[in-house]
Amino acid sequence: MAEADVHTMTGAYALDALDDVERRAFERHLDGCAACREEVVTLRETAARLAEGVAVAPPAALRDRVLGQVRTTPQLPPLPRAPAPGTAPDASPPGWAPFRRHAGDGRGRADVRRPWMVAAAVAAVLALGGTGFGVAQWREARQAQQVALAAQDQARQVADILGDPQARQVTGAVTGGGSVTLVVAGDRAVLSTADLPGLPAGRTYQLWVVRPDGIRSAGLGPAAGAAAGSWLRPVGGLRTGDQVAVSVEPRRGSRQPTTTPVVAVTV
Amino acid sequence: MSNEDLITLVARGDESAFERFYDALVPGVHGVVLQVVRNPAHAEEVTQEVFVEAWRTAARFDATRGSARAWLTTMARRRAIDRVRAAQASSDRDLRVGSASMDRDADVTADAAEVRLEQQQVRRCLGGLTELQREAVTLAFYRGHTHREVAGLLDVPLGTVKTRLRDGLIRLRDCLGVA
Repeated sequence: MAEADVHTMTGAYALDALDDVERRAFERHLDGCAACREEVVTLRETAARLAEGVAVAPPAALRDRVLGQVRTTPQLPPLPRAPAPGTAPDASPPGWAPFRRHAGDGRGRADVRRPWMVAAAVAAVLALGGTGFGVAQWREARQAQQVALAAQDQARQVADILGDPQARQVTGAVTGGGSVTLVVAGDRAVLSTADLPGLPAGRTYQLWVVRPDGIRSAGLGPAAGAAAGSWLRPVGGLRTGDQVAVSVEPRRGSRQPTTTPVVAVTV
Repeated sequence: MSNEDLITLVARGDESAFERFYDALVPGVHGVVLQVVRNPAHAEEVTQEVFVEAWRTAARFDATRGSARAWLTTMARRRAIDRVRAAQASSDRDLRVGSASMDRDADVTADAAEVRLEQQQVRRCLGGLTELQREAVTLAFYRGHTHREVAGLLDVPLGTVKTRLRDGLIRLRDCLGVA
């Protein structure tokens, strides 16, 4: 998809007139295009005003039904906010700053800097008849899952996400070798690694969710020699635009990253 | 109290705030759902789903990404479009361009809804678009067609539809005074 062409899709996107594949591709583009995001917001507001143009009062009985159902419907909690008091975002080391959203140096933003990757992902989805995540990758990921995940519920989460037909994926190269792929389904994701170098004794990989207003830990990866190669970790509570990053930390993990991350990919 | 203030209260489980939120926004939501779905009984079901979903997910509303009205309208249109697409195989939905003209919709909705200033303004602004812009925006927004379908219905290239949807919306935005 040519760059000039992509920008004109703001209107169709704001009206939800793109098909799934195009919408995902355009959302990847939005990650790196602040002007487009701004335009989409104003065009969505415009669309909402168009709804007013056809406003119709529904029957009063509908109000009773809605209120009745609401009384018995539990509410979702807010998405987790990072970080805890005392670990304010500015407590993070200077090396972290470039990985904040939209202030990036492009590392880990493979989707933005390398359009062919988007094209390849789109092609893969098309080849699978729109079923999302590739079967071979799923199998490969599942093998790694069986090796890497002891906890049954964690495994179930991973299988859920990898099996989600709506799942999309983002890939990033890791400083020092290997790569990570993030498979995103709604607000959850699975980070899978490939060909990662092992770590010295006493060091582990730690996952982070990076948002403009802070960084929170998303759990530990394997430690030391076991960190080499392929492993999987589920990550929850994500929003579009978040970055999932990995850094090398002391064996028991850190409250905030203490080294420059080896990779960061944008959700 | 703004819709955004109301939704903050709704997120804390405040049912009376939810009633006010519903009363303020249901005409626009139901109107747009009805436009897309057409069948009144199905439209009521979709409108109900949308408001129950708003109740359920109120705590996840993010004001930095747009107004409560835009959030709800986006949700409503997505659900309405999903509903139509799910039913499409078995339905004999009328895809002819002629059936989508605003004039005819105006006749349908004018009796049911109060003809308010807002509606007049929207119609006036739609009237200020070129014919192709208006047809493209109308088919996509009020009928829930994809840009590819719009291109087919209007028999114009896909690139032209993309451009017309964008410049049509931009012109509407400026006409309606959306910040």
